[in-house]
Amino acid sequence: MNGYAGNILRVNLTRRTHRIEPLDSDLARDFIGGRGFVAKLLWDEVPPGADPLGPDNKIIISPGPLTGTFLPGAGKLEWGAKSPATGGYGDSNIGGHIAPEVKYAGFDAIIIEGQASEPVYLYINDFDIELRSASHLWGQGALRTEAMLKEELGEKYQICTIGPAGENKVLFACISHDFGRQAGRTGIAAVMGSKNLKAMAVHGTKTIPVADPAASLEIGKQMFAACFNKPGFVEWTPQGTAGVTDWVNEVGAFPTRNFTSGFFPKYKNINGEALISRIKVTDKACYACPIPCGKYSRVRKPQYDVHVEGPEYETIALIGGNTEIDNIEDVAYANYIQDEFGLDSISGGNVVGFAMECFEKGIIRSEDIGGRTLNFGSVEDFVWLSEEIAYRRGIGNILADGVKKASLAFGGGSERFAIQVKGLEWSGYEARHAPAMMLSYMTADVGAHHNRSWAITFDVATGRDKLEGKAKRVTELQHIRPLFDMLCLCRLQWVELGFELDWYPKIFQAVTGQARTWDDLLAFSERVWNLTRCYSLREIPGFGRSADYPPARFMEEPIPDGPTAGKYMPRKVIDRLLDEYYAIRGWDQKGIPTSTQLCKVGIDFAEATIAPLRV
Amino acid sequence: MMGIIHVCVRGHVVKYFPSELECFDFPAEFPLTILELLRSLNVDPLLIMGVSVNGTKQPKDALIRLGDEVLFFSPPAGG
Amino acid sequence: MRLKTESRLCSGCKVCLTICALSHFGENNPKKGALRVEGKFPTPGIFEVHVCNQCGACARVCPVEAIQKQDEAFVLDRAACIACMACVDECPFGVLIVHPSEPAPIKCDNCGECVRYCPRDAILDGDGLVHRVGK
Repeated sequence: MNGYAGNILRVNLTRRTHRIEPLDSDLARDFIGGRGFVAKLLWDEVPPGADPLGPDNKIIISPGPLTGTFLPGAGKLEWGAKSPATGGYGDSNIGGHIAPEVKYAGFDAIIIEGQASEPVYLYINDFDIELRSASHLWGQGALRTEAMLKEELGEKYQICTIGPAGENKVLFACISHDFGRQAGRTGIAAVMGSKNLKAMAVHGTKTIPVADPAASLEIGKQMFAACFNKPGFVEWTPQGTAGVTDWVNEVGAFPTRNFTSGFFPKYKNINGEALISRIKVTDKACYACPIPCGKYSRVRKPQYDVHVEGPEYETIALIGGNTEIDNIEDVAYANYIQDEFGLDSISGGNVVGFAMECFEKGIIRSEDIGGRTLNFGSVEDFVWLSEEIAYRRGIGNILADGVKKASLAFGGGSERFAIQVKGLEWSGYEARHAPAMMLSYMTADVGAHHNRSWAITFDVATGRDKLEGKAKRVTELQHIRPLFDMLCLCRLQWVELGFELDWYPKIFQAVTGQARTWDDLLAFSERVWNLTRCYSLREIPGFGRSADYPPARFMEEPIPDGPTAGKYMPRKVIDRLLDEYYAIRGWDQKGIPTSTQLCKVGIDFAEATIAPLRV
Repeated sequence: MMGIIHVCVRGHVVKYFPSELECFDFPAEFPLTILELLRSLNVDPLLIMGVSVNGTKQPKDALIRLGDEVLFFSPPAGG
Repeated sequence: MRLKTESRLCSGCKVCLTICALSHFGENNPKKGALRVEGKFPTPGIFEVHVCNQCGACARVCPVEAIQKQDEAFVLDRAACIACMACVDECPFGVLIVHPSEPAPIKCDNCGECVRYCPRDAILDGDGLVHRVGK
């Protein structure tokens, strides 16, 4: 099968065995790869009701058929598991150089099963597969572990690691790679930790077969040239994603003080300009990317001297604005700390911000934390709490389960400002005056994540008080963006430069030999969207509409200041958006796909499971 | 004084510009500010993340002169 | 055409390695690219690009004279090569590349495709004749 490596690696950690299986052609034909493989394999292979941190959960790792071939952004890898944070479908995408290496080693998916009896790492050198002892690595930071493995095995190995947070099964622990890339969301690193799997080291030398070598080379060359010719191709890279900080503040959508406000007065001290003028060392790319978004930096103050990849926009938002750390150096340092512990900096910043508000309101008292403080704006408090969380100590043990569970444990009304959906912390955009973005966060399958549908410009362009057309646009974006996670390509050339989507069916055909239009490909994405919904419906009792609501703060509290002062989104508006969204999606008003819809998108195998939930 | 500005747009907000062209020439009365240019183009300034004139970033109230090349940046669509 | 590098601009994207392997082997396999992109991480956090400058040291040690000057480049004749690897050891820049599925080492022939496709202008033509593609 052209584009595919042709094999799946299945590793059983309990028995310490592995098997290389041929890639099932039906799986490839119907689910393409990446997120598609993750969704189908989780549905088929993880027993219903499995404990996400138990031996029956599986980790699925999958690149796509175009990954590792010659086109811009061909370097992304999808990770998936039943999420310990939400109890439902979980996936997370990572860049860097691991994805092509998995293809060159010869694999379209790696399935990790069971639980090792002691710490191990997965060693992959083409078809030479071993589970090696990780006793010397266990306890080391995520970045330090990678450095140790690079030294041990050689620079040519691509390494993924977890830090102490993953080892301690923090529900927002992240998987790290390439000194600064992460698969951050949904807590898959905690699943690795529960399996005693500390790291994965991959090296491969094989060639990826393509259907039409001449056409795929020519189209690939044209795609790179087209990127180079895009207006602003050169200008985007220097600040990368940090470059949006100013604009998000100008439109009042910047998470500030645990999502109290949408505007951070000191934003110019933590923006892209601050990053490039004060701390950046190198623009760092993922495989085959012409617009390297990675901003590798060095931050030096009397108290610290560290290198970190970042801060990305999301980190500037959740660590900068959301905990009010007001200078780029301290934001980058806090980023480094969470990276080394192996904590997702989106959830990490959100959780610390939540704790700071609890402290401000007396829900967490100084006596509860050994006389310490948790003040907004304090990098010392941020760093201290991050460590407590990573090691599940004291109050860190409660917060390590995420803001939803922590708010239930703390009480005191804190559930109203636990900024999450489905148990996944909200990421970098305040949406009380952006209905399409609000709906995006409410209905993203994994929880409150922005990457499925990013719609703030749409809201600004079409009217922030308007509701017409919002649900339709969100639905469209929820097919387009995750399609990139099935092909395992980076979206940013399209997102940032306006690179045309019609390149992708051309290169898809040249590489795989399959003629598919862009709309054909979107239909696969809609199929997977419905499948992940069904998975969460199967696994989470009571899942459905009630899991699609934003936190009470957003429905009841007006933003106090800034460009969006006074705005909030009352429940009746939320309900209108949801009603329209479900109707467009072919779901009933409980948020459950109808049998017609399941049939239409080609997953009628789910009907028997879903039917009883509709009554 | 009438003249031509060469305008380019990076990213998605191109669809809110006249003819949805990535690059075009626009006749204008000089001098004018970037904000005035956007108003003449019927584009909401809030849709524009940033601007560079002749390769240098400028604030939206900066003046444009005859022969300048203006590049508008879309907000990214993130993540 | 004479390869020149500006390593401070290198992002580590490996487009150069990929286009090199595609141009010479017709394969999607950057491990067969005739140059090296070295990342120095976690510190100091920079990349160094190592390219062949056609110095000819490899040609001088080849026992079967399989590496010969053609125009501006020393070109390795894969059929004549006996895989003794003397050239690999001799190369001062470590850019004679060994790959398990190739009997002969892989050597740069100065084709310039890396210059044409490096998105960062980190690999350039020192003679100023070959440029990155696009306007």
